[in-house]
Amino acid sequence: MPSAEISLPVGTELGAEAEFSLTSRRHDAIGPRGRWGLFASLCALSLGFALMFAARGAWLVLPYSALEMGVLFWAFHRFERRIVDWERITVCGDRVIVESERSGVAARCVFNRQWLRVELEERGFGRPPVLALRYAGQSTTFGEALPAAERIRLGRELRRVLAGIRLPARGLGDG
Amino acid sequence: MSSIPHDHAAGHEHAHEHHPGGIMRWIMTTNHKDIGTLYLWFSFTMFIAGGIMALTIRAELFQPGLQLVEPEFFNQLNTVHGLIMIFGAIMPAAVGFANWQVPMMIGAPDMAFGRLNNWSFWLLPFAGVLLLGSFLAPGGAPSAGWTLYPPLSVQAGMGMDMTIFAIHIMGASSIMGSINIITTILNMRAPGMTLMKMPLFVWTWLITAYMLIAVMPVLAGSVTMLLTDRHFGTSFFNAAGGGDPVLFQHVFWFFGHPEVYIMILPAFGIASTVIPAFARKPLFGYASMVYATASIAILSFLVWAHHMFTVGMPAAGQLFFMYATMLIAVPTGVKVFNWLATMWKGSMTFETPMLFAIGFLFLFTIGGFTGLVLAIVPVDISLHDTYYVVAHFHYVLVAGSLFAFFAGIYYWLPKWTGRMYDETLGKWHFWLSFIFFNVTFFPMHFLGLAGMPRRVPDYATQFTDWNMVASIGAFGFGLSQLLLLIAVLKTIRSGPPAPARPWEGADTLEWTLPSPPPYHTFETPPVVK
Repeated sequence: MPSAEISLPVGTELGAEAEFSLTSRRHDAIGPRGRWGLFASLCALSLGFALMFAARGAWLVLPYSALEMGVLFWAFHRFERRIVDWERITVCGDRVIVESERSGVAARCVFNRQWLRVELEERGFGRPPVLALRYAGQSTTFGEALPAAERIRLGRELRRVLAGIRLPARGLGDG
Repeated sequence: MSSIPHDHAAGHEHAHEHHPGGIMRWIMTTNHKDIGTLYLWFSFTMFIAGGIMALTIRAELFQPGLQLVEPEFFNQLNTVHGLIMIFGAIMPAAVGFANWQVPMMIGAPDMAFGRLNNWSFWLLPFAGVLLLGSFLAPGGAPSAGWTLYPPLSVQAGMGMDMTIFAIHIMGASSIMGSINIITTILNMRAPGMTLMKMPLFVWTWLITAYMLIAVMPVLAGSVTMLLTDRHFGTSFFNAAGGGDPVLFQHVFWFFGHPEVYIMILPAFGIASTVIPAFARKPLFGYASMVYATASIAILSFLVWAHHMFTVGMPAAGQLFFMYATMLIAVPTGVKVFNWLATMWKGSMTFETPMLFAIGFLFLFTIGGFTGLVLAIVPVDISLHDTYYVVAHFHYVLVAGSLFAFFAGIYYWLPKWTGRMYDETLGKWHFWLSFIFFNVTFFPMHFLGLAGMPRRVPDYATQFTDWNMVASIGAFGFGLSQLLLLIAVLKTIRSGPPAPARPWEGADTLEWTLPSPPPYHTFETPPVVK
């Protein structure tokens, strides 16, 4: 039976030269091939049954089957779009660089380390707080793929790094 | 390297648990545990509603003649009892377990689609109200049996339309739930948790969700065709217009038989979790259990016409469906053997979850054997639509699904609530349920073999004695279920605190979490080795 060990989120890694660097991306347990393979098998099964009944005159199964496969496609497609997204935050000298790619759109923000504010913004019920980075009217968010508690910890950690407090020796990947 | 300091406790810190209290928490929640709790309470409510109908039926059948209810109302009770228990009690209970357990068992923070999960649940109360409200419609609730066979269902009153709508809503809920469960299991497993390392409960739910997606459009299509036959002038099943009522039976049972396995596979998963925990041994033949589950699922699509041996079909068809049905006994036998082998020479203790799991194993096996009897065409032709069939499917669905769900409730209640249940109360619940279940349903085998037809409010006097026994048993069984309610409420209010892992043989991931688990499960994914 499986045993458990608590570790850091998958895809979390540090840059070598930077004082602090963290890349975050979602964990994908099955991969696109497995996901779409499963979708194809379900399509074959569901639409196969529907076509069999349509051939026998009970054609009204078909639209439900098609609708259901449409919803499943939407669910998998939505999941897959989010799976390739990534974010990286790097603290390097007097700069903080936030890079991201969401739905194929790349973005890069560079902040002044001394003036950057790190804030945790509460959102509505059921939505985890967002980690907001603000500087002179410019702002961005970070940690979309991180669970709520990780965002909170990252916020604390970033504040410490920005304030120039040395980090503990244990590495991110040591978990 | 820098670090984000963390440890086990910090991984589950409760900071920023930003969720409202009161009713809004439950209406707006996207949390898998809240939604699991909602499903389970909804299921229990429907179980009580369906149970009251069952007791009214048994009260009427206590002695021959018409005592309490009109025959039309009796048929309505029979129909809605079946629909409520299947779509309102058993299935939502299974989804409730999935909501609570699947993310915790695979090391995921929540279900993949939180809002979809919320909608999946909140559709159900509306469907439940529609179904129960059909009693108030002109002409009353549908009386065609839960199978809704035409021509009765085509000719019925407005209550049938309400039922069709309710089935559509419940079907939509099931499909959304299944998509969520499949997406969660396949995409959100913790690092290292390969498919063949997943707990068997997760496997059974993955296969169940796959089956639901495969057959729910068939149910939706069949009841839509009933609706268009009733109101839009089509003649899919209306013989008067050239339609074929037997086509409905094919379409319905193509959904209906896999549905039986949809109701029992999650129960298999619970039994496969509970038995090793109390036998203090790993599950015997894990891989064969997975393959057996998948085999049962595949075979379930090939046996639907064994419900229709009496409608007239070619001998070749009868033989095919008879042998295919018998074939299901092979993977099912593998499962029963593996559960027994898990217990063999185990260091067993008999707490309430284990008692219910053993009760499930014993009684489900009886139900399986009677299923084999019914698979034999000449025997089935004789026993079709008799109380033997009623006994068979209650052994499978009550002693099978329901007992396993009771095992699951007692097993995970300390985790869910953070408190231990009253063991004495639990054992009373088990023994009374076990005894009264058998008092209720075992005599139905004799009644069926003696020829008593099902779905009748009156019967020949020769059947009186066993009907009296069955009715007494039914009331005993019904009242015993109040012990479950008392046990759960007592646990929530005043149970002693439960440790993170109250069962020493329990080794799945949820037991690495505190009891009760934090609002957001596995903020930091565990690594499975």
